[in-house]
Amino acid sequence: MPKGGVARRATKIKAIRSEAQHPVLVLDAGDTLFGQMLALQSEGRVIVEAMNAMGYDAMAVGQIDLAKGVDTLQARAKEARFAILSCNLVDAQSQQPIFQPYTILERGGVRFGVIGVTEPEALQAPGVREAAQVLDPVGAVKKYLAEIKGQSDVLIVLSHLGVERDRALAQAIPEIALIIGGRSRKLMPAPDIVGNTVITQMGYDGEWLGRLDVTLDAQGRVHDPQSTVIELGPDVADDARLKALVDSYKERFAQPTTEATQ
Amino acid sequence: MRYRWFTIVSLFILWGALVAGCSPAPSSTSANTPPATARTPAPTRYYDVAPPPATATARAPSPAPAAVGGIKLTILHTNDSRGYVDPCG
Repeated sequence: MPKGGVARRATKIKAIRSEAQHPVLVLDAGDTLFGQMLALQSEGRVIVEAMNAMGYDAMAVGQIDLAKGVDTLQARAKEARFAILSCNLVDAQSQQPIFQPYTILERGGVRFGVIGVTEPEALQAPGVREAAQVLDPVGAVKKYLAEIKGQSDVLIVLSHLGVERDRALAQAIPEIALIIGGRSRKLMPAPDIVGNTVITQMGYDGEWLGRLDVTLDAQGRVHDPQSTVIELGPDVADDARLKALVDSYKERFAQPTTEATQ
Repeated sequence: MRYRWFTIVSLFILWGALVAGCSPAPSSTSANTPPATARTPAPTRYYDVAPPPATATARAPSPAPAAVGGIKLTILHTNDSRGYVDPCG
C-alpha cells in the first residue's frame, strides 16, 4: 500500500500543531530536495514550496540536495522560509560555510540552537568537489558551540551523517541534546541514547513522519523521550492546499516547454 | 605555767598568720577586672520554630536532578524523502 506524500504529511503536521499546547518544531535532516522527476524538473522548487507551506523550521544539507550543484541549492535557500543548514560544507577557497551554519528558533520562551552537518560523501555530488570541502563534523560543530550556547537554551543537531557518525558526534560533544539524523534511512521506533543525547531518524522517501516528544529541564537537557512512527497511509487525508500545489507543478511540467517545441 | 599559756597564744597567732598568707595575693589589675562569676548572662533566645538539629540538613539526601523547567517539546521530523511528493512503496 503506497505511503507518504506531502499532502498527507501536511495534514498530520497541521493537526499535531493545532493540538499541541507546547512548542512544536518541524525539522528535516536532508536528502530532501531532489531524486524524483518533479523535484528534478522544478530544480527543487516544488519541495521548497511544499516545505514552506508545511511550516518547516530548518533542514540540513545532504548529498542529494547538492544534485543540481551548489548554486541551485543556494537559490532554493533564498526562496525557503526555513533555514537550510550546514556548518561543515565550506567554500574551497575561503573555508567559510556555503550555507547558514546554524539558526536560533525561539518557541514558547525557549531558544533552540539548531546546527546542520553534512556527510563527507556530499563531495560526490556533481561539481561540488571543485567548489567545496566538507570539514570534520565534530570540529565544525565545536567551532560554533560557544556561539550557539550563548544564544540558546537547547542544542539540536540536524545531521545527514548517518547513525554511527551521529553516535560518535554525541560522544564527542555531550552538550548536544538532540540529533535528528538521516542518511542511514533507519526507521527508529525508539531513539538511541548516548550519554545525555537523544538520537533519532525516521525512514526514507517521506513514507513516515517522525514525532519525538521530550521534556526539557532548566539546563536544556532532555528527559523522557518518546518516539512515535506516524505512517502516512491511505487513512490520512490529503491536505487540499498541498495537493493543489503538487497538481499545479505536475500540470506545468507535463506541458512541453517553449524550448522543447522549437 | 605563765610560759605555757604564752606559748599557746603565740602558736595560735602564728597559725593565723600562716593561714592568711596562703591566700593568693591580689594582682595589680584585679580591681578593674570583674570577677569570673560577675559575667552578664546571655539574653534568652526565643524561636518561633525550634531550630532543627545541625546535622538534619547534612543528612538529608539531595534531590535527584529533575525536570526543573518541565517544558514539553514536540519535534516532527523527516529525512531522506528524496523529492517524493506522492505516496510510494
